[in-house]
Amino acid sequence: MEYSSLLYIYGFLPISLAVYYLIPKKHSEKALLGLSMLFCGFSSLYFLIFMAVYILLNYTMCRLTEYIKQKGSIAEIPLASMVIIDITAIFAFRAPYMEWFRNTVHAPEIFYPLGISFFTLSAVGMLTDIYKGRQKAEKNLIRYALYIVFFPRLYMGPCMQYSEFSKILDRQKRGFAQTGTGLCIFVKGLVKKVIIADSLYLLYSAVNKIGHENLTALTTLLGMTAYILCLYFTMSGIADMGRGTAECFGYRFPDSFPYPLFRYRVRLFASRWLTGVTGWFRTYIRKPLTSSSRNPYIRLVFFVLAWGMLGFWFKFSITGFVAGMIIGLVISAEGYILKKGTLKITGVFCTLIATLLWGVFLSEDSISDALSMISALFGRYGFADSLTFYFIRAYILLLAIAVFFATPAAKKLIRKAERQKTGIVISFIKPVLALAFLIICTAYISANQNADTVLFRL
Amino acid sequence: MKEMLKKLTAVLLLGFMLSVALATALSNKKTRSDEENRELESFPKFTLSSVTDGSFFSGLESYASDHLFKRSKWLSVKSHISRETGENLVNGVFIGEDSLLDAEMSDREINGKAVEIINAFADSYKGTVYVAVIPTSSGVYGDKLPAYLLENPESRQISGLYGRISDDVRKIDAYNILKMLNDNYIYFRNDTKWTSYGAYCVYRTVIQKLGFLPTPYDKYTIMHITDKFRGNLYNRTLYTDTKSDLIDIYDYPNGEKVVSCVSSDKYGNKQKKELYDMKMAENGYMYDMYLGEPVPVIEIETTVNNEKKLLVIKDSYADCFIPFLTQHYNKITVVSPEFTDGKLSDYADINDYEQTLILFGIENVNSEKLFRDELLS
Repeated sequence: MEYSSLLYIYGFLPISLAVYYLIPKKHSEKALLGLSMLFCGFSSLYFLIFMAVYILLNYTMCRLTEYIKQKGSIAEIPLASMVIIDITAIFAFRAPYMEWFRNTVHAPEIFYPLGISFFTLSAVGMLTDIYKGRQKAEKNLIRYALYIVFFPRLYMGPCMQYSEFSKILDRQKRGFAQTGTGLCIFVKGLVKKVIIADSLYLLYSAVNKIGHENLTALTTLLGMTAYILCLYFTMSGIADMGRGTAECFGYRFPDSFPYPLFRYRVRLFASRWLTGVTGWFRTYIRKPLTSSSRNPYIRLVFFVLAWGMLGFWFKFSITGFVAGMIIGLVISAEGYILKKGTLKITGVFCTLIATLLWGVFLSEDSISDALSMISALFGRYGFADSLTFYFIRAYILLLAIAVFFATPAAKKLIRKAERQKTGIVISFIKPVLALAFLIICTAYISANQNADTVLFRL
Repeated sequence: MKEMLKKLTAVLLLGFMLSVALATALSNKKTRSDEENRELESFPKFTLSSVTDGSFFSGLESYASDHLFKRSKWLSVKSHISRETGENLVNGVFIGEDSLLDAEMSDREINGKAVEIINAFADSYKGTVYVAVIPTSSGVYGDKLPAYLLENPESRQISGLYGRISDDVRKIDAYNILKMLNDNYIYFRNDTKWTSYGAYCVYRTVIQKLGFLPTPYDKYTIMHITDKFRGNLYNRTLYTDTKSDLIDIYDYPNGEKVVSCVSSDKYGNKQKKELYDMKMAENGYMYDMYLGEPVPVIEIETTVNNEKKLLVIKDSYADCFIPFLTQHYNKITVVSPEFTDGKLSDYADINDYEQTLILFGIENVNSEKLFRDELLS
C-alpha cells in the first residue's frame, strides 16, 4: 500500500490513528508494531512472513554477536554471516540478474519487499555498531522490530542509527496538536508527489518518447530538468508523507531532503539528498575505506568508489554506479577548483551541471544511451525545434512552480510573512489550505490510478 | 493560540478523511458507471491464496478507488484543473481546442494476429474479400496533436498492415478519403470513432469497389437523433467543456426498405430487432443506437431485388456504416467476432456469400476477441 493511495489516506491512516488514541500510552509501541505488521500484511501475507523472519533473524544475530564478543570469542562469525545474508537478500530482490534466485525460492513474481534498501542499511549498520562496541544490542524485541519495520519510515527512511531512533522513541509527544502538524506535513508530501511529481513525469516521458536522433539540446535539457525535479519531488514527497505520519503519532523524524537542489556546492547537494543514507555510506563505507591508506591517490580512488557504491545502491545498475562516481569526482575536484573567494553563482552553476550529468546517468539504462543523451545536450541534433516551444508553452508554469518550491525560497518567504503582522492570517489560512490541497490531491489520485513514476524500487 | 490552530487542523483533516471513508462505505454500490462506460471493480474474494500473494489487497485498492464517494465528480474536477494549468494530457487523452483526441496511438504495436486471420480467411474462401481499416480521430486529425505523439502515425500503421495482407484481398484506403475531407464533421469530438457522415464518405468508395453505384448525398433525409452524445474519450476524462456530439440517421425515403432484421445470440436464439434502437440514444453509450445493443450476429433482409448476399465481419466502427449497404444487397449478414464464441462457421456458411467485407478500426487491431485462432478452426 502506497502512502499516496486512497486506501491509505481514507482507510489505514485514520483508522490507525483512532486505534492509537484508544490504546493507553504504555502500550503504544506494541500497538504501533501491530499496525506496522498489518501494514506489511496489506501488501501480501508473503511480505509479512518475510519481515517477521527477517526481524527475528537479525535480532538473534545482534544478541549473539554481543554475547560472543563479551566472551572474547570470534564475534565475526555471526556478524559476517548475517551481513552476508542481508546483502544477499537485497541483491536477490533488486538486481535484475538474480532472477534465477527468485525462481529457485519460488517467490511469487509480483512479490517485492518494498523498502528493503532502507531496512537492510538499518540492520547492517546496527550489527556493525554492536560488533565495534558503539552500540548495545537492543534486548526489547518490540523496539528492535519497530526500528526495522515502523511503517512511516518503511518506504523512504529516514535512515538513522539505532541510538538516534531510540532517542526519538523516548521523546514521544502524544497529542492532537502533533497530529495536526503531522497531517500538514503529510498533505505537503502528498502535493509534492501527486500534483507536482506526477505532472512533471508527463513532461519527462514525453521527451523520452522522442527518438534520440530527434532530440534537440533544449528539449533534452527540459526533459532532464523534469526528470531530476520529478525524482526530487517523488522521493521527498514520499519521505514527507512518512515523516508526517510519524509526526501524527508524536515522533519527530529528521527531514531526508532538506532542499538539496540549487545549492552552491555539489557537496551540499550530495549530503542533502537522502541525508540518512549519505550519512550511512560515510560512516560504514567511505570512512573505513579512505582511512585504510595514507596515499592520497589511493584515498581519492576509494573516495570516488564509495560514492559509486552509493549510486549503485540507488539504482542497481552500472549507470547508477557511474552517476555516483561523478558526484564523488566532482566533490573531490571542488576542493581544488573552487577557492573560497568563488562567487556563489558560479558554484550554483557548477553544481547544476554536475546534477544534470548525475541525472542523465540515473535516467538511462546503459552507458551508451547516457552518452548519446549528453551529446544531444551539446546540440548534436540541433538546438531547438517547434516541439521545444510546444513543451515550453505547455509546461512553463509547472516547471516554474517546481523550481520555486525546490529551493528554500518558498519556505523563507512564508517564515518572513509569519513574523510580520500578516502572520496571524497565515496561521488561520493554513488549516483551510491543507484541507483544500487534500481535496485536490484526492481528485488527482482518483484520476491517475496507474500513474507511472520515475522512482526506482528502493 | 498556535496549539489550538494545530488541533483545529487535525480535527478538520481527520474529520474530512473519516467522512469520505464513511460516505464511501455507506453509499450504494453501483456495478457499472455510465459516465465512464465500464464495469466497476467488484469486492475482491477473500481466500488464502489471494491474501498470500497480495491480490486481495490490490483488488481492495481498485475497489476503493472505483467506489470512492462521488467518484465521477473527482475525475471531472481533475480534468478541469489540468486544462486550466496548461496540461493537455489527461488519462492518455489529449484535450484539444474543440475536441478530445486519443494520445496513445503511437504506442500501438501491431501484432500479426489480424493479418494472419485475414490471410487464412481469404485462403479458405471462394469469393472476394474486401478489407477496410478505419483510422481513429487522432489518425485523421494528427496535426492537432504535438509532434512527440506522432512518432508512429496511424497512416503508417494501416499501410504497414495492408502491405502484409495477401494480394488476393482488395484493400480500401479509408485513411486518405477521410484525411481529404477532414474539414467536415466526419469524426466525433468526444469519441475515437467516425460519424455517419464519415462512414458515408467511405461508403461511396467501398460500394463502387463492390460493384454498385453509391446513393447520392441529396437523396437522404438526415435526422438528428440526439445532440448529447459523449463517447469513449469523454469516458476517460469526464471533461465537459468540449461540445457534445450529434448522432444522425441517414434515411432514404424512396429507397429500398429493410424487410427483416434478426439477431442471434451465442446459443443461436433468434430475436427480431430494428436497424436502429432509439432507446439506446437516450443515455449511456448512445452510439449503440446504430444496430442496437451489440450481438454476435445480425441477419438483414431487404426489398432489393437481386440475389446478392454480403457477409460483413466487423467491430463497432461498422455500426453506422451498415445502414448504407442496405440499399444494395438482398441479404447482409453481420458478424461481430468480439461477441461470439467459437467458430465463424457456427454463425454463417461463408461460402454462401460471394463477397465479404472485413471492416474494423485500427484501434482494435490487437483485440484478442476480434482476431482469434478459434474463429477459423
